[in-house]
Amino acid sequence: MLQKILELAGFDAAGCAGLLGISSRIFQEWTAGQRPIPPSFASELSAILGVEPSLLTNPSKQIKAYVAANMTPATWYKFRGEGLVDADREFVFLIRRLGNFIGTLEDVTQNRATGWEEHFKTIQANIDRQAPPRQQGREAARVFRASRGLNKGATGIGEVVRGNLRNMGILLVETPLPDSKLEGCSFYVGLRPTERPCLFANTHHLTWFRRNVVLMHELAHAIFDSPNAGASIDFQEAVSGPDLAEQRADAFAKEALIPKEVLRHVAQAHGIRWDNLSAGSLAAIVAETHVEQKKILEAAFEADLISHEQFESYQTVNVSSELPRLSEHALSTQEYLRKIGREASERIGIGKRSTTIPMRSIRLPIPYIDAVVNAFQNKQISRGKAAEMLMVDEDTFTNRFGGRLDTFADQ
Amino acid sequence: MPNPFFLLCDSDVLIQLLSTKQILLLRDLTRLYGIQATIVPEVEVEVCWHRKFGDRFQQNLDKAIHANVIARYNEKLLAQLCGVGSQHIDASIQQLGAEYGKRVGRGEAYTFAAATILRQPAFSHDRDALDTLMASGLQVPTTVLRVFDLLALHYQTGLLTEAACDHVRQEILKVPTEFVPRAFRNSSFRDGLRNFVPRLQDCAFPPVEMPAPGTGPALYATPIVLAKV
Repeated sequence: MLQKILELAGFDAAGCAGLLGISSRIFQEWTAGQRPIPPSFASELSAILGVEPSLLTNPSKQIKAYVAANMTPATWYKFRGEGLVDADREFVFLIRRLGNFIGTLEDVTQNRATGWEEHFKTIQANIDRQAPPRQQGREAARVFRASRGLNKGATGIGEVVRGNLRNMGILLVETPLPDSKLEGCSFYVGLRPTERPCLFANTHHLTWFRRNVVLMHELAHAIFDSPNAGASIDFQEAVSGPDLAEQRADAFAKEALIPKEVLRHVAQAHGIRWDNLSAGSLAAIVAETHVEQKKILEAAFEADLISHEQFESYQTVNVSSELPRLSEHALSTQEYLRKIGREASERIGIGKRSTTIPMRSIRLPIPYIDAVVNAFQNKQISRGKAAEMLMVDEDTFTNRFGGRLDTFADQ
Repeated sequence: MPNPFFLLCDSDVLIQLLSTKQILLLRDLTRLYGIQATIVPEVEVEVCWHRKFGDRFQQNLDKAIHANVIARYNEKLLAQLCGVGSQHIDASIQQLGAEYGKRVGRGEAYTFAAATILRQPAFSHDRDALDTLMASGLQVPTTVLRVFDLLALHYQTGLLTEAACDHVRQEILKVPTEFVPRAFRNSSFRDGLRNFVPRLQDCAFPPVEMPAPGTGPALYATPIVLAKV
């Protein structure tokens, strides 16, 4: 029964009902096999849980084999692991639900973002699998930068890389998970053949400069590891150890964001000398490269731009007072809102991104919200469907986004 | 034309009937005209846990189902209407519901799919969903009824007085987001009827006063004339 599948994935019925925003009693009747699961819900649950829909609608024999073989989908197997809490699994549940909505939206709007698979294959084909992991990561990052047109200008890519990845069909989610130790993770969402990689960065206590590193690190995992492992999970405060996948992902992130030519170009453009870095000059490098101080120093050391002594010494330099003057990405949310003003904050959807229906709220990506609202405006989806896709109720949808521009006449 | 067998009810009308304690109006349809108010599982899920009202209506919906005021749509019920071949018809409904469900809410999708395939009326206020489906070139039920069609029928046949109908109107108006046809928003029930074209009438009674037809009814507004069984 559904109950067994949920148990193997680390859920209980009440929690799942809360995440779907439906009656706990009805969901419990489904899990206990007392009431058939309607095909529409079976289809959604199968996409979220990663099991065949028939397993949910015609359980009997198949379920026995499933339970006996412990056929937990790889993603959920990973998310049952040590150090992970209910909040993490609930978050993944909602993201996989989001992935399913994206597939539907692309289907309705006939606007499918693709390309990630081809790019991943190109990258995989262009690295030497027998090379040391760090070299593999660097090679892969060079291919990635070149194939995505990110190597032009030798400057920071933090402000463009999100859109670039989304154009390939990759789902990027950055939302606070305060109860979690997760820093980032990657896994696949959606049903075959429209599955896609999802990269996640926890915004709780992570700066934008750090999140850029996290997202690139997770991209490397999505290219090399997640397809087979089900998911790749990285915790806060973790240090890259001898693990091949982690070393490769770490090298990929640094080379993708701050290859040697970018570090040199940024320093030259600002008249900065690597042998004499002050708080101001280091802050300028952070602001221009869009990468946190620690990774810049690691990359500079690996590129022979600074010595080991300088690396140690520069780590103690505090850029926190200089950085907000140089980059709005260093501002707190309140400071940022004050700077851009109310009109601009409404235009870019601040305060309109959080879900309200599931018991756990997540912050949805702005391009996804825009796509849903546009589909509603173009009469491709109804208000009810748009609200469902944004995981809010219809009144909230109307309050946040208004009605259609050409409102309907009376029924 | 024979009376319909089913009235496929959507969540919003059920919630309006449940919140105004008028759900028993549906029983008159069965008793007098042989029309069974029916809900698809998706609607039951929506009413039992509503995004705005929580589980407020769950208990009364259960009661209405147990009292056969409302029937659950399932293959057994379908077999009563269609006999042999009901499995294929159910498969068609599920397929069409899944297609509609890409564009409109789950409850509307399967309610309209069942009504369309079975050629039975739907009971819904979700004009937005209907127009969305039509904008995508999809078929919609020929008749979609509103709560005020049911009130107008009860008024026409003398089952409800004008005062009782107006009381329901006022109860619905208390919730600002609830749908009320324009004719009744700022007029009493009696006055509103003059500007309202009911989609449900009893052939044995004089028709209620109604405005002259305008540019023609919308695709889903074909009126139904009922005969007592």
